[in-house]
Amino acid sequence: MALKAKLDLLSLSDEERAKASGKFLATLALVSEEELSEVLTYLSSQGVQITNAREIKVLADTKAVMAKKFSILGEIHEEGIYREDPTLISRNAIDIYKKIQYCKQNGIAYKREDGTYEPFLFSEAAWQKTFNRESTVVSDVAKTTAGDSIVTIEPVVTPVLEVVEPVIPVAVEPVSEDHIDIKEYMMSSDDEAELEARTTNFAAIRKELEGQLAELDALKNMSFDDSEISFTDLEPETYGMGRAA
Amino acid sequence: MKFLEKYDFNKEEIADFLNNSPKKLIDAIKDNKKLVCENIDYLKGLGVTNYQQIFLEYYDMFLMDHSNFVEVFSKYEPEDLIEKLNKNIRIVEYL
Repeated sequence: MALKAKLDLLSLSDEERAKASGKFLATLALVSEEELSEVLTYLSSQGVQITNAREIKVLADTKAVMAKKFSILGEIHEEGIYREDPTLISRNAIDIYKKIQYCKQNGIAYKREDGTYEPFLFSEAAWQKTFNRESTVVSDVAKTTAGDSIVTIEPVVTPVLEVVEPVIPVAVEPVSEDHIDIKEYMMSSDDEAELEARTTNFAAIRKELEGQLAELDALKNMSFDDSEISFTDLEPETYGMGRAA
Repeated sequence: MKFLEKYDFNKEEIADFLNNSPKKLIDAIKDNKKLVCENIDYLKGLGVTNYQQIFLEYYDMFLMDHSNFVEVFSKYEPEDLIEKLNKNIRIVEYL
């Protein structure tokens, strides 16, 4: 099927079609007509329309991969992200899921008043800038290249409590057991080995977050007897504050 | 994707790109490394300083035939083009 005919399957305006022509057709060359129709039908059933030339690249994912991504964010009722900006479909859904869960568990707003999502959910650089922390989210699944083979970077885990602004977890939702075995959802590629690795990593991170939340709960319930502790005995570094000059 | 390091992409940018792009397109970029390099080289040679940003956002465009790629950008005065691209890379869509 010619590229032009594949382009006809999309609902692009004349302006967007002109933008796409020549520049953004690589994706259409890589997918078969059948795959394209299948993906477009699936997206349409999810209320997503490809209306912009720059969104065409998301069509390089298969329907199965897309369905997994929608399921992951659907678990936390946030699949609307994809309707807001279809280009996000090409991003790793697990990373977005983990960032949203982190925000929820720490009482951090990740949606603006107008209902749009905070950009830090979709950019590792913005996430680190906002929270001044190495993400436990992306680093565990991040890949780099050594020659042409992909290798996994060791996770860099920084305690959740190291967020710049002190946050008190509010309305923490109990983690459903359904989330534990999410093997069937967890992948943005078709690689089974990668899927296994991500499943293991994800479970470990959830366990860590749960431990930290339990620790926070314990701290919240802790009471001090003033007679036992004198704050003058504490060196500044003991409680994480610098001494005033 | 080690070849991207030659173009001053850092490891984090490459990792983020690999982690957030469709597998088919990543494979196509790997398989057509020479073409992709030619197209990056062209932008770099033109004096486009934010070519990394352009690649990370519009990577699919770098799979264009090199002569067509050159045609897209060569229609404009380089200085003007560079200035506009520095202000907003989305201008790429309108070229």
